[in-house]
Amino acid sequence: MITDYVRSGSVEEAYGLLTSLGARARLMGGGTDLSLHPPAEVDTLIDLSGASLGGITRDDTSITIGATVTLTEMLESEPLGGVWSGVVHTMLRRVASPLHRNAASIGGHLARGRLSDVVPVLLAIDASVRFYDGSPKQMPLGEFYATRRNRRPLVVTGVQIPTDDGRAAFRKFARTTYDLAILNVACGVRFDDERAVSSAKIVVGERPSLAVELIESSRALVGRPLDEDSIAEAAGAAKQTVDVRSDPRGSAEYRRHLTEVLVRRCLTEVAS
Amino acid sequence: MNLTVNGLAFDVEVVPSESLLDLLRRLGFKGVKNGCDNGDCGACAVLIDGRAVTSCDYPAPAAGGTSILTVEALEHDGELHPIQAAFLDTGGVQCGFCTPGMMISAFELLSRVPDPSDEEIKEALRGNLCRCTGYVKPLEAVRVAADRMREAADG
Repeated sequence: MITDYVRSGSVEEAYGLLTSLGARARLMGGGTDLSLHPPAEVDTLIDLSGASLGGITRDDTSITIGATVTLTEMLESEPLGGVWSGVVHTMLRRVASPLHRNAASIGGHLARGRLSDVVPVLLAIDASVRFYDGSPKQMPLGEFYATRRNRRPLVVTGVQIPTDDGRAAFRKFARTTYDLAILNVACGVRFDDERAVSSAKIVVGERPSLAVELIESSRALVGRPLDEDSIAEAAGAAKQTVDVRSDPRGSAEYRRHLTEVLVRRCLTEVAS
Repeated sequence: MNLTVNGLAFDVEVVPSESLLDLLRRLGFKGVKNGCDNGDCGACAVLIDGRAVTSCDYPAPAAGGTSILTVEALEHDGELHPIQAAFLDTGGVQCGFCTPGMMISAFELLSRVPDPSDEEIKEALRGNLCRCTGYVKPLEAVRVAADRMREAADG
């Protein structure tokens, strides 16, 4: 039961509250998820909207998005629409509805991690997360999730997307366009001067666990042109190696099948 | 906590666990409908500082200092807003429960995009579930409202 609501004026103050209150406190971005499903042990919400974490900025090599930026603000950002084949915008148009995107914040979304179309795309395009845990830090998003299991307190302060010119695609399979995904796939691919793949990241989300990169599938592409053969090989490797589970949204078998199909479709779009 | 609803200033005590939906209905704005109380159906949509959001999953304390518009604000001096008139004229209203939320979504859309494409109208109403109309007439209502509002602005 939420019995206390605090507006924090700074990241340092929010972090201080979080460390002193422990599991009783949760940071809040837009609140769309947390207000409906607060964990039983939580009695205090710390609102970050006054902590100066807004704004989208661009420099020579990256775009940085503050944690309290809404998904709508991301969708309306021209710089974000102009990198990685516009995949961030393509994906966001399929996330929930404007009624949620107007409130939901990118920081809250990343801190939750699951039930997400955003996370696989950000993983595929090499995004880094910025956070504060006594001092400001930045690390690749994948590493952030891999090392977060110990749940030490931290404040997500933003996300950074590299703007060196890769191509990317996103596919989501859901019962209706407005529903959560049964499975989703994002891929980000960079090419060398001979049009061979220099780096590739193929990511599968809603397995239904947190999104992960399919390393073997990604490796199958490196050093080769992105053509029918290499795409088929990567999609086949994805199907073989993906770790999927059954839940009420779909069976493991169905998700395994979807993985192959969606990886193929993503890569075919990138190749076109 | 201070907030403005439909141009009226309020100074209210809020419960930390309260949703904006419950607060607004408590203040008498019953046009804000509780359809699912789970962020799914859009019947509780209101505008917060010009942006349409579901109020059932919006914590009331987060609305401090904001300016809110509910469907009650659309009508002026007994005259229906063009969006309301268009919903009536096209038959975009059946049971009516989802209608306030649809009108709020339409209001935000038309404040940004005066001449929306059919795709843009569908996208704007994506979060408003309706179990009666099959959506065809509400979509038509927004198109008609857009045309009438542009004509009035040009005229």
